[in-house]
Amino acid sequence: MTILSLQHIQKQYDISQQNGFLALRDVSFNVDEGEYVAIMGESGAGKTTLLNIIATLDNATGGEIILNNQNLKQLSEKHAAQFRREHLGFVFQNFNLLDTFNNEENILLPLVLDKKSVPDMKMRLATLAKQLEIEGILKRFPYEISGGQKQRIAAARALITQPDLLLADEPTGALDSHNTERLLTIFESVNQQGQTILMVTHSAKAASHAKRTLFIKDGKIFHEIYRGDQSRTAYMSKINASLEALSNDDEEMMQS
Amino acid sequence: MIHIRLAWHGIIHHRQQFGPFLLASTVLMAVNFTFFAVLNNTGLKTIEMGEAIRSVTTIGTVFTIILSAIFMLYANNFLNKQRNQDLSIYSMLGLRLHDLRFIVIIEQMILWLLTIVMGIIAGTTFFRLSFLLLKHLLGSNTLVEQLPVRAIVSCCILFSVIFCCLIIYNIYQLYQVKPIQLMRQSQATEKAPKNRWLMSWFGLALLGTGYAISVMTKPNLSAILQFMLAVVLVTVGTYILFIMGSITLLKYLKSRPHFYYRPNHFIAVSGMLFRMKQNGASLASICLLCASILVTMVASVSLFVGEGQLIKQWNPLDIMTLSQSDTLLQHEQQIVHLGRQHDIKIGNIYQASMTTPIIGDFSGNQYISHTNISKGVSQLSTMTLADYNQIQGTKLKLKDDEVLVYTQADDFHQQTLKINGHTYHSQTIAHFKLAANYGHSIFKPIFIITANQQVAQTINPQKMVAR
Ligand SMILES: Nc1ncnc2c1ncn2[C@@H]1O[C@H](COP(=O)(O)OP(=O)(O)OP(=O)(O)O)[C@@H](O)[C@H]1O
Ligand SMILES: [Mg+2]
Repeated sequence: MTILSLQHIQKQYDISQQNGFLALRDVSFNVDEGEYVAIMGESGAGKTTLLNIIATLDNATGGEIILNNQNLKQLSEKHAAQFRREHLGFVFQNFNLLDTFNNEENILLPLVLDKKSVPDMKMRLATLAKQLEIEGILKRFPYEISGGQKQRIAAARALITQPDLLLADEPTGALDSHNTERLLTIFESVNQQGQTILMVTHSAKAASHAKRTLFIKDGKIFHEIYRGDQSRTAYMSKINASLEALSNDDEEMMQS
Repeated sequence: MIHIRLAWHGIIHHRQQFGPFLLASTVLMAVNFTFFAVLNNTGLKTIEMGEAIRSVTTIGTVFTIILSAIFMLYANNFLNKQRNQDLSIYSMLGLRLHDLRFIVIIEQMILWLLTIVMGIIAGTTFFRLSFLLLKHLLGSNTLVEQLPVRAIVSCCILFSVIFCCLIIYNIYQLYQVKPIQLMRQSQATEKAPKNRWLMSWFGLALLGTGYAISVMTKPNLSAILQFMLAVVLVTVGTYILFIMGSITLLKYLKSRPHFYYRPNHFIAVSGMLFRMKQNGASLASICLLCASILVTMVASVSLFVGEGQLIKQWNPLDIMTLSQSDTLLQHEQQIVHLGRQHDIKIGNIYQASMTTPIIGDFSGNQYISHTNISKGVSQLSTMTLADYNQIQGTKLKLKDDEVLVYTQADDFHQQTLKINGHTYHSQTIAHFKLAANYGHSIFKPIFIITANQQVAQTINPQKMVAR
C-alpha cells in the first residue's frame, strides 16, 4: 500500500522576489508501507527542502503530495502540527534533544504531548530502550552522553509514537563509523519490523542499508536503484557508481 | 496542564538564564519602587523644600522607568535564543502555534509574578534604608515613613505594562520560530546585525539635542522641565547610539578594505560586531548609570564646597530683617534688647530702602523684565545713593542719568544700561555689603544704585526696606 505519494512537486524559494530560486522542479515518487528509502544528491540539490515538505514543515509551490491519504496542501497550521504528532517521526543530524529534560523524558515527550497513559508509555519505552541499547543512560541528561548515544535517544523519541513514516535528515552526519553502523543497524531492524523510513544521506554506506535509493539532481529525481537481493557490498558499489555518474552528468552510464 | 508544566520546567532548568533575568527585574523593580515611594510620601509634601525633593525625584523616576523598560527588553533577548530553540523542538514534536503561544504567556506570567513578589519584598527593604538616609540627610523628624501602598500599585502597574510588552514581543518572535530551522541547521549561527544609518543619525541627533538643551538652559524655574526632557533625550539617544550606532560604525569600518583587511583590525572589528549586537544595551546602561553617578557626585561636591559661599550670599550679615512698612525702629530696638539679654554686642547697623526685585535678564546692555517669572534668571532691586554711601561709608556722587550696578558674578561691564525705556550711564561696583539674596531664591541678585528716590522709582516702582 502506498503511504506517501509525490506528484510533480515544485518548490520555489522567495517566490515574491524577482530572483526566486527553484529548489525543486518536478519531483514524483511513491513510497510503499514498510519501505526503506534513501535519498542522495549533491549538496544543494534540494534534499532537505524535499524532506521539509514531506514533514509538513514547509509548503510546496506546486504539485500534489499525499501522505497517509491526507493531502498535505489542505492541512492548516493547526492540523499540520497534530498530523506531525500522530503520523511522523524525525531524526536530525544535530539530534535536537532538549537539554532541560533527561533522556527518558526526551523520549517520552511526544507521548506526553499526546496525553497517552503512563503504563502505555512505560511499556513502549521499555521495548525501545532494549532494542536501541539505551537502558543505561535513560536517567542521564543529553549533555552527559556521547553523540552516538544522543542519536539513539533521538531515534527512540521518533519511534516511540510508532509513526507511519520516519523522516531522517543525514542522521549519521555527525557520527563516527562505529556509531553510524550501529544506528543503521537499528534503522534496518525497525524497518524489518514494518517501520517505513525515508532517509536523506550523503553516505553510500548509509544508503546501502536501505531497500531503495533515489538520486536527486537539479531539483528532479535523476535516477533510482533498488537493492533487491544483492549483497550490501555489491549494492554499495552500485550506489557509488551512480553517485559518480551524478556528478559527471553521465547519462549513458545510467542506462547500463 | 501540560503548558504550565512545560513553562515551569523550562524556567527551572534554564535557571542559569532565568536567574539573572529575575535578579535584574527584581532589582529594577526595587529601585523603581523606592522612587515611587518617595514620590508618594505625604510627609514629604509638607516639609520645607519637599517640593524640590519631589521634582528632582520625578526626574530620577522618569530616568529609571526608561532604563528599566529598555533593560528588561534587553534581558529578555538573552532568554529568547534558548527559548526559541526549545519551542521549535516542541513544534516539531507536534505542538501547535497556539500551544507555543500559551507556553510563552504562562512563562512570562510566572516571571511577572516572581518579579512582583520579590520586587516588593526587596523594594520595601530598600526603601526603608533609603528613607532612613533621607531623613538623616534632612535632619527632619516630621517625615514619617508610610506603608507605600500607592507605590506598590504604581510599581505593579509599571511592571505589568513592561511584561505585557515582553509578551507581545515574544509572541511576535514566535512567528519566526519554525521547526524548519532545525532541519536547516541554521540555528547555531546568529544573523549578522543589520546596518542602520538612519537610526544611528537619529540617536546621535537625540543625544545632541539632549546635551544642547542641558547646556543652553538657563538656571531658571522652568529649567527643571527642560532638564527632564534632556534626561529623556540623552537616555534614549544613548541607547540607540550604542545599540545601532556602534554597529553602523563597525560596518562602516568593515566596508573600508584598506582598514579592515589588517590582521588586528579584521579580528577586532568582526568580533566587536557580534559582541556589540549582544551587549550594546548593557554598555549603554552602564554608561548612563556612570553618567548619573557623575552628575550626583558633581552636584554633591559643589553643594558641599559652595556651602560657605551660599550662606554668605544668603546672609551676608548676622541679622537681617525685612519689612514692607516702616517698623524698622521697632526691629532695631528688639534686636538691641535681645543682644543685651544674651550679652551680645551689636556691631554696625545698616539700613537701606530698596525696591522689590523685578525678575528678568540681561541682554547686552539692556535689562529685560519677564512677566513670566519662570523664564527669568536674575532679580533686580534699586536703592538710592544716599543709602549706599551710608552703608559703604563712601561719598560718591551721581547725576540723574548715572547709576551704579552691582552683580554678584561681576558679569556686567557695559558703559550704559538700558532699562524700562531709559538709558543710564553705568558704572560697575565690585563690593556691596548688603548684596544679599534675601529671598533665598534661585535668582541672581542685581543691585542698581541711583542718584535719588525718583530715579529709583522709575526703574522699579515698588519699595522695600532692608536692614
Ligand atoms: N530558505 C531558503 N531560501 C532560499 N533558498 C533556499 C532556502 N533554503 C534552501 N535554499 C536553496 O535551495 C537549494 C536546496 O537546498 P537544500 O537545503 O534542500 O539542499 P540539500 O540538498 O539539503 O543540501 P545539503 O546536502 O548540503 O544539506 C539550495 O540551493 C539552497 O541554497
Ligand atoms: Mg540538507
